[in-house]
Amino acid sequence: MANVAWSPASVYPLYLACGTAAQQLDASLNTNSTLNIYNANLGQANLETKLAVSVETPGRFHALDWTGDQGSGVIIGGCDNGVLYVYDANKLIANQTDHLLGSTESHHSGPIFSLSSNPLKSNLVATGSVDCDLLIWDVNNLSSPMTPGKKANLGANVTCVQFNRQAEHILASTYAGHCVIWDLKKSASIISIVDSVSRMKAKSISWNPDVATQLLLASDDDATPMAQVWDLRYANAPLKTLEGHQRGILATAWCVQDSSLLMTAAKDNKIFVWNPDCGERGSEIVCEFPSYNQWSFNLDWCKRDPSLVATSSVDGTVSVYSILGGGLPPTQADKFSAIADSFPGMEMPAVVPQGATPQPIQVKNPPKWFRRPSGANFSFGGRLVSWNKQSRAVAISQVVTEEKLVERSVQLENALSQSQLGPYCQAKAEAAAKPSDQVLWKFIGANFETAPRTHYMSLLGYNSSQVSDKVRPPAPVADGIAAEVLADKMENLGTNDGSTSSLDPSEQFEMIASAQSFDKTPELEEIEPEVETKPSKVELNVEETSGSNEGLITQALLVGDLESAVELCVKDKHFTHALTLAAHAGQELYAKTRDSVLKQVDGSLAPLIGAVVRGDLTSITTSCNLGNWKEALVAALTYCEDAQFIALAENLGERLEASNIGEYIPSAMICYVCAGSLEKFVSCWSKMQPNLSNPNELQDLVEIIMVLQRSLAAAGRPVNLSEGSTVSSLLCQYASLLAAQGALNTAVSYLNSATQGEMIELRDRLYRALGYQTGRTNQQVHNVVPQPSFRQTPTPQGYQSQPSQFTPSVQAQQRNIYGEPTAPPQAAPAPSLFTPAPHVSQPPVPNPPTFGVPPLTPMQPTMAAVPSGPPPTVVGHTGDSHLWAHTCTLHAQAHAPYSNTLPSPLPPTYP
Amino acid sequence: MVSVISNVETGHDDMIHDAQMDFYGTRLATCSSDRSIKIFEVKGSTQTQIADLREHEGPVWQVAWAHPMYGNILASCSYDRKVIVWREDGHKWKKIYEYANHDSSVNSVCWAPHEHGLILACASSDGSVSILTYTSAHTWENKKITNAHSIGCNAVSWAPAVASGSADGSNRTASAVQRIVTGGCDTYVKIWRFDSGTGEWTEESKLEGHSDWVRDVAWAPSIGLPRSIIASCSQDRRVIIWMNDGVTGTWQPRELNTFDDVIWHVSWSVTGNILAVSGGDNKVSLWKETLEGQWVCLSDSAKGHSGTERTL
Repeated sequence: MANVAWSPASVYPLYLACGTAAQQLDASLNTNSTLNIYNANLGQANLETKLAVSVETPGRFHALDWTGDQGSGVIIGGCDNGVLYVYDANKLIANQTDHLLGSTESHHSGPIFSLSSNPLKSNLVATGSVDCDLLIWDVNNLSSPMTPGKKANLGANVTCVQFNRQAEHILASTYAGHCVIWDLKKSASIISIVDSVSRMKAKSISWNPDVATQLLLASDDDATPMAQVWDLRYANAPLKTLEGHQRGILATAWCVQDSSLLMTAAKDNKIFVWNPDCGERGSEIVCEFPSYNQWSFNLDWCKRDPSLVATSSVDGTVSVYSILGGGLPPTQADKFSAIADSFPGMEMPAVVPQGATPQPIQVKNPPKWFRRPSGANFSFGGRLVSWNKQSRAVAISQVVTEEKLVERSVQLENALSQSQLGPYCQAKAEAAAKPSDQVLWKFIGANFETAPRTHYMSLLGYNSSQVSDKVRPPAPVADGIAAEVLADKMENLGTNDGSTSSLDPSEQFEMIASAQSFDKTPELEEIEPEVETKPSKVELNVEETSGSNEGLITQALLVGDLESAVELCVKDKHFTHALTLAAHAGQELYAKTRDSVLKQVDGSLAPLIGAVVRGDLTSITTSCNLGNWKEALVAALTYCEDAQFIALAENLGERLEASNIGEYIPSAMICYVCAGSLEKFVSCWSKMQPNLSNPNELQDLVEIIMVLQRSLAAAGRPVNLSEGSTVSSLLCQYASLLAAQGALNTAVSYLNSATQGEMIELRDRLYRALGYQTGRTNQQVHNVVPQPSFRQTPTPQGYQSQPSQFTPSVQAQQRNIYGEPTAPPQAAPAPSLFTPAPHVSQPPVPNPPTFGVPPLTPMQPTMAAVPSGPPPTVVGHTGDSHLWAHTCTLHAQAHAPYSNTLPSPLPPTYP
Repeated sequence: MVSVISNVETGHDDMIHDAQMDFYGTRLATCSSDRSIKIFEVKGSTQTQIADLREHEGPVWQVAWAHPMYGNILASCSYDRKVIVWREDGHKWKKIYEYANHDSSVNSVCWAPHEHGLILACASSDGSVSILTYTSAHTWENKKITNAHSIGCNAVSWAPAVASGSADGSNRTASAVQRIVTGGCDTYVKIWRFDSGTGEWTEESKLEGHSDWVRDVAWAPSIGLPRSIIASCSQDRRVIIWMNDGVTGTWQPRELNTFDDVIWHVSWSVTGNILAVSGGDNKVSLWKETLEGQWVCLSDSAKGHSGTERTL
């Protein structure tokens, strides 16, 4: 048999101390005594409880307690030899020999039947012995105990002492069947509780853990098998009586963590758990431990885990029960046989537990500490559902953790709902912290200008007038040729063909050259000196001299063999002559001559000139020094029509990106912006800012994506979001981020054209969250929810590209650096109709379109873009839908209203 | 940053133990010590009660919504040792299955990721965990992990169905591996893996870190990274974040915080980056991992840093 004590609440892991019991019930003649400490080790599946330490003790225990905390726990034992032993728990567990901290000698004249450590002052211990002997000890100084008051002279044993749990100076004791309450401050007893009605002889005491004035008294007398709850304030009669046992109660324990649970063990072999606060009779048995057929004389409610109770029975078994079930009831028999084993000499009952079919124990109602009092659950859309025990209401809250992101997304949203994105881009550029971002936003913004390419040019540091200004500073009007005059002349040129012209060819050249000076391009820096215009005498020298083919050339000219003449001129490096003649002879010869001349000319300019005149800029963008990317881009801007420009700009971007040189990456992005290569831009960006899990960086990128997309759509180049593309998965990521902030409407607008499973799933969830009834399938979703394919607003009419007033004519536009027209211009456009940047279109070069972009756009808007329709309004929506798609649909035909061939200036309407 | 949108007066007669929104966030299910489950339709700040389910004979601890692809299905568990699966049929909620094979209080229910099927994990104070699977034969099959936590299991949570190791979020494939995490009175957090070969659930890891009852565990939704994260909270007033980088396969604990009171509940946001921690003192705090890998408190309802914060 053993008395038991759990380790204190603060001690982990759990231990259980068992001291050999000295109860009068013990029939054993063996006088050995041990104090054993078991590791409760409840994590083991087999609940194997290991003996941590076992020490011999000088006396057998009537009472055992374990107080203190992890660092300084003490085990206090009251023994049959009248001595109180104080052990250092940690030293015991560590198996150190100096574990005995102290003992009290010759103060009590008989056995210590009961002890209680003070719950509030853990160094105080009360002991009760024979002859109403009560002492209070300081475990740190065991030499001089004090008495609680004047000792009664009843000659009775003190059967129980208990410190109050709230008032440290209140002590209850029982002797002679009644309960005496002591006030240590007064050093006197303050009240004595006697049951004059049922004459219950109180033996054991348990204070109510919550109500300081209440205590439970129980009797081990079979005549009064009851426990009574008394309140000291009304001490005439018990507050309530717990009746249920058939025989006297040996032990009681009140659960500290839940005062609605208390436990009694009686001589009827039963252990009951009571709820003293409910039931019709004022109390209720809420749980009965499995029948055991043995008396349990000692109980200890685990201080740390209140679901556990240790009981000790007279057969020498110590059992641990969980009042919430759990554990392995069938093995409990084996479980503590180890304990019995460690008390050698004690009689072992033949059958250890009688409860052959143990039932899991579960108290009728969950203990207080088992009931979840509060909580908070996240749900979709950044909502937090929370509740607590103070209320029967559940609060639904919106959690916004990325306030900045939400704010910025609203700004973006607002911007995208405007017809003009230019101001937004400008604001972004101004606000950008990094110079590279400033530049980037300026380029993006240029897309929304009336002439984006002109803006690109000036952003790249070039404008059309700058070169001509350098070459010829603005001259006084008298010396110059007025544009109008020139235009007239040009028109005249256009109406005549060279052979019938009344003008001297050299005059024609001069006129062309001077006309060109109005729209000099940056590349044409090396301007030929003006051709001398003095008429000269015609020499007809036909002599063939060595070292010169002049004679032969003259002969060839005279007979009209222009081809030979040209060939000879080239040979003699009379390039001017050769080109002059070739130009006269016709297109084919001119092109051939031009190419052979360019091959022969020295200097770095030739390749550029070649590229310009051949209209093939590819060589520039593919071979230029990366440091000159701006110049290459400017050249492409100047000479290429959109489709080719896009290809070249993208190509240039790829080269810059592939260089892996940090400073070129922003340049690459600029090229992609100019080219409108969204996917490439995004992948390049991602390369530079790999941390897109940072919401603000993702926002940065999404802003660019959305604005670029808008400009592309406006330019008739809808973005195809291929499945699994970086852009679409980023938008999905962005949408889910917005959704998590509760911005469901905004989030859904980024998913309207979802094509992927994940995006569709999120979109469906958003629709439902927004209260739209949708089916599960995508198809149903489409049926039910308005599906505007565009987020909104008409694009500026300038981008709607009405048919250009300028129909490009190859002949009219073909020119070369020599100022020579390749053929008499037929319909030279009025210079005033040109945009400031000369736009030299290509002869049809066999340059297969590298993009799937339909060659829709004329090169440049010829007029300032003035929206000709009514003010931008939201179109394409029905009902209350605010679900505007940010993404572009996969189907080009969806963009039909934006088709640039649409002749009508009316704003687009949506089907 | 936390603003109350609406207060749903549940009309429960006793303590509320759980409140869960459905997949779309439009319906709220609550359960209480009054043994009832209530379902509300929530729209903006208004709500309408659409069901009051009274079949349990004890306090109802938890409710869990199944993925809507299986219909409108709710599971509940109670101190009465039962698990009940409810389904909305027309406009009526009906009990479609009752599982009474636990010996003690069933404390937690959690549906598996829908990719695995309609599977429910149930954790009981009897120490075992049941895995209930709805089969193609329209029956419920159960597997039991006996003695998952010898003296009681308090919480269970499923691992997301995304294969760890697929770092690219766009390339998500459902993982065939089924895992759950459980927390028990034995202070352990345990990870269990379904072995499709033997058809049994086996203990994969036992995480030791808490010093008292583990009250709740929550496996974080995948955010597209190979790593796995589990949050556990305990009677010991601590929350521990367990992280598995997906490479070494080991779980590294990081103590989030020691709180003033017992922590009863942890819940991850749908996107898996915010953790709500709620304690016995009715305080809710929100935590987030910074880019540097530190966990910081975003908002503590008790401290009230700014006027916009509200006591939840």
